[in-house]
Amino acid sequence: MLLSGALAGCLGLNELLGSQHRILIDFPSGAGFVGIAVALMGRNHPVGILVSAVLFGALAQGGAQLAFDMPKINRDMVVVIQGLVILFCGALENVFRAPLAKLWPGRLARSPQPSGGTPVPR
Amino acid sequence: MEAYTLIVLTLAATIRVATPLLLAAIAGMFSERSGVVDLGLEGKMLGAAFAAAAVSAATGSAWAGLGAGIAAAVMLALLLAFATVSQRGNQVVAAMAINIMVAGLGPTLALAWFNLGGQTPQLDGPGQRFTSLVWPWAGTAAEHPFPGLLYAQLLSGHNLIVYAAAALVPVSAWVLFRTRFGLRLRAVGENPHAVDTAGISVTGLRYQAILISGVLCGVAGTYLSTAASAGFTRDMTAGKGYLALAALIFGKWKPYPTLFACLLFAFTDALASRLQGVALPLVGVIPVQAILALPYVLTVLLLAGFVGKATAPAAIGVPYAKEK
Repeated sequence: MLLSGALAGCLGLNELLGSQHRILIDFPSGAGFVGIAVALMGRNHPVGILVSAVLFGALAQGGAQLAFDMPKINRDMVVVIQGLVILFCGALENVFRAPLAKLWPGRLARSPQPSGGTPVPR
Repeated sequence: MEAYTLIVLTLAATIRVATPLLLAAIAGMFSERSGVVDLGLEGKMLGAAFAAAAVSAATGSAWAGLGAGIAAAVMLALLLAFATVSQRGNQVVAAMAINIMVAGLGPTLALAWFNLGGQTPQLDGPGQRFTSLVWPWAGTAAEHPFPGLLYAQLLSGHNLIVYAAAALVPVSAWVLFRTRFGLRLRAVGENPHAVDTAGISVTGLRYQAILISGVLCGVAGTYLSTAASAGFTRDMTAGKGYLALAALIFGKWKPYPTLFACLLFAFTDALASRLQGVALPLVGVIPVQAILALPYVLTVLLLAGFVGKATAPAAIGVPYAKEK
């Protein structure tokens, strides 16, 4: 718990001293909640968390860029996509696990991959 | 005299703030008693709030809004049930996914349909909102401080959903502890294997519990957007779902203690809005930010210090796999 608090403090430090240089209201802007999702998607494994953190970072930054370039797309759509990614990769993993395990016999069955969940067919 | 009126008004505000908390907490109680963690209260309420406000704005009927709110929350609940009960996914992940998805979906749809920057239009037409019911003789009673003012402010002058929520507490207590369905529901949260051995469907019971939770969350969300305020705004649940979950744990998964916990949390909230800019004896005016933090500080203190030992249903959070 103490380590968790220390690491969470690093987020605030990074945001304040590294990026904004001042305190804004709600400056972490939901990073804590997305962090829970990132940890869950990474199956509580450091490597998995790194991969899923990069995915979510790409979604957030890419969404901001898209919203800037195309007025039809806004940041809320990015949030929806984040939600869908968590839903399909995290919560509905068992839907895809059995067919995928058939495709690669022996590998998925032995140990769950420490990556950001199973790939999602769209 | 002045202080008395203030106290009565604060208590009346407490009742209004407690209503969505209570509905959500009872919703969570049904779901958690059946062994499914209900972190999705927040998302279901938010989805219902959006659907209710959108339909009420389009049709001009608050009752149609209520129906749409319940329908939206039930759909989300079904999704949750499919992911957690049928597919045995992680309950926390599924709920977080729904919360995050709905947080984005509401403003996106609102922007697409109404073009008002992620809000629904103001509900100001007749019949678009659940308005306060004034009980007979409330006006004359209010002139007499005691007990007239209590009658006029505390009993009268709330909308239908408030009274429904109050009636829900004894009803849910009866359902949980006095009916066959309630016994099975509690059993499936404590020991699903025993329930399965008795020949009762674990999946069916959990689906029913999650659906009840969806209906109640739908009512709570409808209250937020069509009764407590006039329209949907971004993130309007503002953590009420999580607070309701805290109230549920504080109330040890029992209806009456949960009611008490909801009233307590709501009271700190009502007190916070009353205390803004008021000079207190000894301390003077407290900064607004400190007052706004008061409900959360109290919640932390209460949960850390006074909750005692809260025993969750034994099978909570564990997906049930039928033995083959």
